[in-house]
Amino acid sequence: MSQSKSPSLEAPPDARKVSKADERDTKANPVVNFPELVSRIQAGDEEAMTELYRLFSRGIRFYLYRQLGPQELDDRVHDAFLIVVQAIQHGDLRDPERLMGFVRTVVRRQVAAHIEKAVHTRKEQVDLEGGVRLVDRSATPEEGVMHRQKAEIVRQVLEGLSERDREILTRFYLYEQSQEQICEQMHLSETQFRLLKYRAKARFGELGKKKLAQRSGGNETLLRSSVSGAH
Amino acid sequence: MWRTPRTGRGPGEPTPPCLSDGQLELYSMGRMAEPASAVVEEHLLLCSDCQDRLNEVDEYVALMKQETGRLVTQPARPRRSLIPQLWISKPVWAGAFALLIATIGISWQLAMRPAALPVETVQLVANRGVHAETHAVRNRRLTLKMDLTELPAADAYRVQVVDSTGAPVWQGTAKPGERRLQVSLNRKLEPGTYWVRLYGGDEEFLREYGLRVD
Repeated sequence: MSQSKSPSLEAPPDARKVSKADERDTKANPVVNFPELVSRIQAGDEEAMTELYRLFSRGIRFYLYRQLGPQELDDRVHDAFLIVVQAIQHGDLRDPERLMGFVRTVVRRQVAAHIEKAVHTRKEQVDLEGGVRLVDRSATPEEGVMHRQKAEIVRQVLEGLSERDREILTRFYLYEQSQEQICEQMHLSETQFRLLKYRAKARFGELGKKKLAQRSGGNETLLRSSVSGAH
Repeated sequence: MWRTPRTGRGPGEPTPPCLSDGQLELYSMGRMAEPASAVVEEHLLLCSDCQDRLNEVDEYVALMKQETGRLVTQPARPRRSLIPQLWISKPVWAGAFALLIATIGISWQLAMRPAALPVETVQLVANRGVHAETHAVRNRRLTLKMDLTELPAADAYRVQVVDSTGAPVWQGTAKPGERRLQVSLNRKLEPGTYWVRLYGGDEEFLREYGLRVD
């Protein structure tokens, strides 16, 4: 997938990529003993720190990308990792088995801190520079085509439903009504509601696969990764 | 492919199950509160499969939101169908179908009544031999004609039709006209072999004709 680059734009990094070395190492050592890992880090074992990084870096990157976008993502992942390691070494992690929960807390605080800083900056400071650096998060032309194709598939799915079924999905996805509210107002059981969503998603998957079979080329990987099918 | 690592309680501990699509959907839409979201986020820190699935769910939810929003402002295109769409409720359709079936059934029954059947005149011939049968077509109202030449004269004759087992299926009387006798059966004969028996005065058995309904 090609990405445009210019002096004022940064290509958004793909947060989903994992290095082949990481994959190989993880496959070789799939079982993780958190208490043991924590005690090794507390002892200053550098291999343990490397293992910790490989274990969580992808997940931390994933979370931070979703919350804050691609800007300065590598730095933020590195900062989160440092905070976790320092906290372990200082004994701040009281329950080693809750390492995952601790890491989650660290990244959530990082997100909250960034947002607070951004709000403060916008309120209190004015950028004196004439130009502004923005990260271009728009889709590439290829992604744009893929998105339009998928939108057309969703449209076909919706237009193939009865008006009542369309209303149910509109209430859930557009108006964000709860399942309980929709079931009560439209006299549905929970099973009927879930079945409708399942059928719509399955139909989306079927139509997507048909389109895949009809077309060939580099778009296949992108479309395949987005077509999930059944629950 | 990255596998969800086991948590560190020791060997043999079951791997935490991956997230359901329902969980991912609610999380994607920001409609999952603590502590449920904590469970999801901790799992996502480690499980690349669920990360990928969440990306797919994000996209699907966004598309559904976009397209349902579009349909709210623009009416849906009519469904493609070779049959014109008639906005009629299901009970009405069911009733119309039942009425159609009943009409077809009644019409068929009426069509099969003898009175409604076309008439076929059959000249019965008394031949000797294996193939001593006169043939008639099914689903016809039969008029049987018999030649009374060389038979004793009588004011009236009785005609009996029996099936191949000898069971009577029809009988009637008729007056002759110019050495011929004619009787009209008021019932339909099913395909098979029949015998038409002619009786004269004093119930004298005069003649038997073979009749084959094909």
